[in-house]
Amino acid sequence: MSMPVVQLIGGTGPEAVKLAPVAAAMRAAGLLMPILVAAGDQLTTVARALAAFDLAPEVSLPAGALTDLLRRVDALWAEQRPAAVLVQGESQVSLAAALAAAWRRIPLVHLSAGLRRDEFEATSPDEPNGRLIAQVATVHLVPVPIAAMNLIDEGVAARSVLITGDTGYDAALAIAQRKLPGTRVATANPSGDGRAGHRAAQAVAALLGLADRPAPMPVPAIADTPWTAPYGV
Amino acid sequence: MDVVDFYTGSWISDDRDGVRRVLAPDADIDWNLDAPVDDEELVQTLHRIAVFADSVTVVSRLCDGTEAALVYDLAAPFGTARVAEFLTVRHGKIVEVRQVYDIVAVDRFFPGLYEQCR
Repeated sequence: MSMPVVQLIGGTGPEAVKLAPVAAAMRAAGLLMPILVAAGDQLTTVARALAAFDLAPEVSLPAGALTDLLRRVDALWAEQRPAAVLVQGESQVSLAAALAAAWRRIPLVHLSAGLRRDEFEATSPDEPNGRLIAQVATVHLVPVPIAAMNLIDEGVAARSVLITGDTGYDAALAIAQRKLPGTRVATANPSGDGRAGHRAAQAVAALLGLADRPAPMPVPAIADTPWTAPYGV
Repeated sequence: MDVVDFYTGSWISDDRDGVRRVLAPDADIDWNLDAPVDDEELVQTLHRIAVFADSVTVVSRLCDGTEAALVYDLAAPFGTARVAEFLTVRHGKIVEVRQVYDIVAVDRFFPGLYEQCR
């Protein structure tokens, strides 16, 4: 029987870097077939970022306004409807894919969810996208506990939120281990333990009934966390 | 899709009768606001938005046969809230409405929008 297809959609280099460990973990687990989709105006950057992990986008969708992106993503899914869709971050590409998934009732997983700035007035242009994606996502994978709290404050059900750790940390570790063999995972890092990609992949499998829900990343005690004074005090 | 354009134009211009004309009486309506909704509550909420907002812009509109996906920016005096809306049309009437609001921005920039229906 063929494996359920999960499309991982990225529109920027950083998004691709954070998606790569999830795609790799899905392949390693053998429960899901990840399809990497590059979309937007940074197709070359996305491809270059994925190449660092021996991955490549299998589909590329050109840039456009929100409606164009929605139409292209929707047309892609008309050919092959994925079992689930995973988007990362808050970009226009992520928003378009998220809204298309909501429209077509395809389960949506949001990676790096819940990251917000402190001041509402000083938000980035993409932050409203993130808040809207949060309202349509089925599962929210957050890198740090504060992101989970942000989502719950916005009315997201706690049971749909999982602290995975930062897949960007996984990605950095993978690159470091490749360039500096023997590199080890720091034990008290507050944003990752090198297993975020595996947790994310298992969470998607769990969403589709193929695995148990993964345990959240153990959060280091405050005493173990490197302390940085705010504002340079 | 004429029905979708009529509905959109009607509520943005605060034409409640126009909205009622294309909304099926037994329409399936769902939103993510913390309040119950039926067809009349939807009409009244759209009315309150149209009255309070400085402008309502259709950021994105995509129609496919009987279904449509819309994204609006609701500009209020102190900021903008974004809303996605998914519609299904049958026999010239809107039979399904799903609205997804940026809850944080709505609560901040459209205070009291749905308090009355709680």
